[in-house]
Amino acid sequence: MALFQVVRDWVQLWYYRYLLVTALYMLQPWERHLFHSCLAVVLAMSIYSTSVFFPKYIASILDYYGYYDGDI
Amino acid sequence: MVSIRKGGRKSSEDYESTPFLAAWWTYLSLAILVAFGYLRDFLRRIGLDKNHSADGRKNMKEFVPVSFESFVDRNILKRVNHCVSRPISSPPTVEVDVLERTSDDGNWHFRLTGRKRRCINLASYNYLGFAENEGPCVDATAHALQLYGAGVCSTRHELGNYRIHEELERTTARFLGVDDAITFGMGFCTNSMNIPVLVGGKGCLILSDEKNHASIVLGARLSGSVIKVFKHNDIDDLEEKLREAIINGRPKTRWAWRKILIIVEGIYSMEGSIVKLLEVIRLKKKYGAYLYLDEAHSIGALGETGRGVTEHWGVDPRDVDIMMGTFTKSFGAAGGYIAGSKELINHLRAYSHSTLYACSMSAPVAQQIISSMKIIMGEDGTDKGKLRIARLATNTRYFRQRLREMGFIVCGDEDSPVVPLLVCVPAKILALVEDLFERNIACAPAVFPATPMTEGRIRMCISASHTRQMLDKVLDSISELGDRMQLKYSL
Repeated sequence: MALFQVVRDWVQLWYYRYLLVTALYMLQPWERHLFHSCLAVVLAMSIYSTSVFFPKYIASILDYYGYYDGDI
Repeated sequence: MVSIRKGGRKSSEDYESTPFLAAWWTYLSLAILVAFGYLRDFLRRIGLDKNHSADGRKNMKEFVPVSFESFVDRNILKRVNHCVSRPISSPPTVEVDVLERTSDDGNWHFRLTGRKRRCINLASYNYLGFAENEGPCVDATAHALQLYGAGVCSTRHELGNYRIHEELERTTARFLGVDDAITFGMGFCTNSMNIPVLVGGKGCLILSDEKNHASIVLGARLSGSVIKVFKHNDIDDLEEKLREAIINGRPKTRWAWRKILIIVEGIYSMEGSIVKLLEVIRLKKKYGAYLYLDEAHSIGALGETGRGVTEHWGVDPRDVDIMMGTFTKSFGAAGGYIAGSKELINHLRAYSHSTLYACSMSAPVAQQIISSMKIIMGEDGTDKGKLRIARLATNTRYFRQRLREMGFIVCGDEDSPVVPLLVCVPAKILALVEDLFERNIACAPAVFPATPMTEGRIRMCISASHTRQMLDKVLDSISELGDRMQLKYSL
């Protein structure tokens, strides 16, 4: 349980610092929710497109340098 | 670190600039705040959000010029509004009662909750601790109030020239070590109304420091002379501008300038830096310019016996042509003075706009200045004045040294009692001021437009009445909050 508390305090501290540094600390709650939603949508889209294209991209690089001799 | 060594006095100015990462976060915060500002403005336009700001009438919509400053005020500065203009209900001594207030509509309107908070006062310009409501100064002031009343109801030229004004002027001249002085009822208007009288007309050049106060800027602009700004406390830049002015002369005709006036301040209130007076006087004598020294913050606060920045550097006060100062900061009163040679003061007595059109200083205020000045000079028979000055010097050095050791970036010279702490990110400034208030410490934030965009700071003013325990409490709180918010930028 002490470990859980330590992790929880660490997360709280860095969330506070994130709010300070992006000026979300000065915004009202609904503005914060809006910013977090937009950020989540953008991150989700990036992660999805990365996961679709990344394997093929890595395979084509390896093939260019001759380390991969299979179907691309 | 820039140091000049002359006659044993070294000038040390720390100009460690904003760290790269902090500047980055500042610009990111600004981008997010501006984006949300546009969103809120749009919501106000279509009516989803209540519009509290002043707006023109429907048929005069395009008349008022819209500027970025009003956008910043409406969308960014309103979010920090609860940390400025806080009402107080006690004299601004070393501890002050700040009234708490809440807002229901996002800091546009406040209402008092009825609670008071007794805070350590780091925001008032109370350098020698004379802003109190008991003691020998206050007794003398109450006596003067009974003798003369509160108002003067006239200008100096008509029937507002009291005995006590003349005594005040004699005392001021004796305090500063010059021939004569003239006093005015308001510090701001001492600058803005008298610079036009001194350098009016064609052919005058004003060389003004970058970070000069608004009153000097206003006075310089009202005078109608050509104004050139030199970089803050940069002697090489000042010399270059002087040489260029003397070699090239006036802009179109190339005639010689009639008068060149260099305007500097003793202590700059946003930077905490002290002017390099020895170098400025050397330049002034070499090139034949005049020097105007605004000692608003440094009179009473610097020097062995509180005589200001001339004593701090060991300079003869007669080398400075025009010495100006205010009584608001170290003397706990109101008003300003100009001191210098007899010819200068005679000219001002006849032609100053203040003496012609503005009412003179209130008599109890003048008495407060006389009493506090006599205490500082030691003429009341005790050594209370010397003790206050010594305490201010030790407090200042201790506070600045401890902050530096902790790793904060503190601007300015190590002897100046104005301590600006560089906290560049806007939300951190807000959080720091709020959290210090929760811990019963009151200090003032300074953000754009008073400072550059990436150099937001909180400004603390040390007083002679602060005890070591109070300073330790403040330092511990700032250290703890600085760790939590990552403010210890110094490398």
